[in-house]
Amino acid sequence: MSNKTVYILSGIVVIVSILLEILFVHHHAHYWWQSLIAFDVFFGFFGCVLIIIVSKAAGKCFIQRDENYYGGEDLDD
Amino acid sequence: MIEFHPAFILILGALAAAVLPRRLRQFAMIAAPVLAILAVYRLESGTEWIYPFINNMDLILLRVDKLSWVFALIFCIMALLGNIYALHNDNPRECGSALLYAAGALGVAFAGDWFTLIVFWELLAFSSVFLVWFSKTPEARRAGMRYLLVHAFGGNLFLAGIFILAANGQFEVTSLTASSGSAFWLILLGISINAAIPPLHAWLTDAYPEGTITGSVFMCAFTTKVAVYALIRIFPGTEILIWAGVIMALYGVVYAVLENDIRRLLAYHIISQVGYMVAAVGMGTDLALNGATSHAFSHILYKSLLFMGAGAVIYSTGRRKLSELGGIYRQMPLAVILYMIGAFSISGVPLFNGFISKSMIISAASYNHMPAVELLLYLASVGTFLHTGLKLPYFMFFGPDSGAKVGKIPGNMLVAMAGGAFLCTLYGVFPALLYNKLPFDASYVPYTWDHVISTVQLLTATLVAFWIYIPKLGGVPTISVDTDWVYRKPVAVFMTWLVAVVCNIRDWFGVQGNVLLKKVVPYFNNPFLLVGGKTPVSGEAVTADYDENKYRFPVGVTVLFTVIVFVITFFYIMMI
Repeated sequence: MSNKTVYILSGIVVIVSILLEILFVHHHAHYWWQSLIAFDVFFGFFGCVLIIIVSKAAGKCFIQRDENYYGGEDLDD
Repeated sequence: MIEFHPAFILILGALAAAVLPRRLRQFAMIAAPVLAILAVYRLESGTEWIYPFINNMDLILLRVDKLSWVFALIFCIMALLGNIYALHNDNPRECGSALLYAAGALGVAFAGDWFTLIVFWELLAFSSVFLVWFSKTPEARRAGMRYLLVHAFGGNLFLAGIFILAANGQFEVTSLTASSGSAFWLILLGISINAAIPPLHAWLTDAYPEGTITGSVFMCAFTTKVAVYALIRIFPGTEILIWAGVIMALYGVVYAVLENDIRRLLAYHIISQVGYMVAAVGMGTDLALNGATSHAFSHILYKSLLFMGAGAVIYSTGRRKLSELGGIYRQMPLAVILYMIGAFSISGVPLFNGFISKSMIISAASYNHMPAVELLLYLASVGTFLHTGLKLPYFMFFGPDSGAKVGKIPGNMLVAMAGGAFLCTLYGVFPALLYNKLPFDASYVPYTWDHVISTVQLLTATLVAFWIYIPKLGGVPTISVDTDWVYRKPVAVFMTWLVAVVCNIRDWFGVQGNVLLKKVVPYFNNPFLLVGGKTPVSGEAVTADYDENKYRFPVGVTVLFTVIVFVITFFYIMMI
C-alpha cells in the first residue's frame, strides 16, 4: 500500500469515527479528558510518537549493544 | 460422580508421550488434554480432596472454586492447542516435558494447601527448562541454566515464606493481603519472579526466545499466568502491585521498540500484558479481579497464537531476526492471516478477545479513580498495537523482500493456529461465553459506542504514526541490555574472580605446605640432626622420591576383604 492510500483511509476512518462520536456517544466522563471529542486520536498519535522517540533515545544511550556483547555464538564451556 | 484430577491425567499423558512410539504418542498428546478438559468440566465448585499428612497437616490436592476452575479450563485448552502445534515433533521427551509443565500449572491452580502448591510450582520450572534445552544450541543451554537458577531462587523464597506460615500453623492457601511481615514479602517476591515483574523479569526474555519452536508456545502461556493466578488468590488488593503492573506494561513496550529477535519482541509484550493483570490484582475490586482473570484467559489464547505464528516463520525460513526477514507473506498467506488475528486480539481491536478483557481492567482503574494508572495503561496499549500489530507483521511478513527461502509449514501447526484464532474471535464476538465463567461478582459491558469508537480512534492514530516512522522502526542487528546484565556481566566477573582467588590461596598453601614438609621430614627421619649430628640412618634414603605404588594394596586384597565382610554380614543376617 502506498503512503497516500494509508493516510487517506486512516483519515476517512477518523472522520467517520468523530462524526459517530458526536452523534451517538454519551460520555460517562470520570475525568475531563474523557468528554473531549477525538481525544483518543491525539492520545494515540502523540502517545505512539512519544513511545518511539523515548525508546529510541533510551536504546541509543543505555540499552543497545553489539550482538556479540555477551560472547555471541563462540561460547565455550 | 467419579472425579479425576486433571493434573494427574496430564502427568499420565506426559509419561505416555515420553515413551510411546510416534503414532501412539500423537494419540496420547491429543487424548490427555481432551480428557483433562472433560475432567475440568466434571469438577464442581466446592469439591475437595483432603489427605492427612505429617504434623497434623492436611494435603489438599484438589480444591475447586470458580477462580481455580476458570484458570484450569484455559490451561487445559492451551495444553490441547500446544500439543496440536507440536504433533509433528519427533522428540518424545520434549513432548513429555511440555505436558508435565501443563500438569504443573493445573496442579497449582487446584492446590488447596501450601505444600501441594509449592511442589507443583517447582514442577513448572523443572519441566519447562527442558523446552529450552532441547533447542540444543549453546545459547539455549546457557539461557536455560540461567532460567533454572532464577526460578530455583524464586521457588526457594516462596518455600521460605511457606515455612514461616507453616510454623505458625497456617497450612491452607489463603489471602495474605491483610498480613505483613517476612512471610508476606518472601512469598510476594517468589511469585513476582514468576510473574516477571521488573527488575525480576529478565529470565523470561532471556529464555523464551531460545526455546524450541513448539516449546516456547507452551512457555509463553503457563509460567506467568500461573503467577497471575497465585497473585489473585494470595495478594488481591495489594496496592504496591498497581504501580508494579503499570511499570511492567510500559517497560515491555520500550524494549519492544528496540528488539530485533521476533520471539524476544513477543516476550517483551508478555511482560507488558501481564502488567495489566498485575495492576488489576493490585486494584483488588471485583471488576478488576475479573479483569485480571479474563485478561489472563484471553492472553493465553492470543499470545500462544502469536508465538505459533513466529514459530511457523522460524520453522519455514530458519531465520528469527526482523533484520533478516520480510517479503514472505505470499508464501505463507494462511499463517499471516492467523497471526494477524492474534495481533488484533492483543491490540484490543473490537470483536477480538483482547478487547473484552483489557478494557475491563482499564475501566476498573477509571472506576477506582486512578487517572494516572488508566492513562498509562492506555498508553501501553498504543505500544502493543504498534509492535505486535504493526511493526512485527510489517517487517516479518511484508516490508522489503529479504530473499528468505520459505519451506512448508506442517499442517498441524496451522490447525493449532486456526484453533487459537477461532477461540480469540469466538470470545471477542460473544463475550458472555467468558464473562459467565468469571469468579467475582461484577458485571461489565464491553461493547458500548464509547469504548468501540475510542478504540478505533486510538488504533487508527497509532497506525498513522507508525506509517510516518516506518523508516526508523526496522530491525537493527543489536541486542538490548536488560537486568540480566547484572548476573551475566558483573556477577559473572565477580564469580570468576572469586574462584580464581580461592584457587590461588589453596595453591599457595599447597606449595608452602610441601616446602615445609620437605624441611621437616629429615628431622623426623633422623632426630640426631636436631643436635647437630650428621650420621645418615641406614635403610631408606630420605631423598628417595615418593612412589605411591609402593604402598598400594593389590586389587585382590580389596576384593578379598570385600568378600569377607560380605560373607560375615550375610551369615550374620541369616543367623538372626
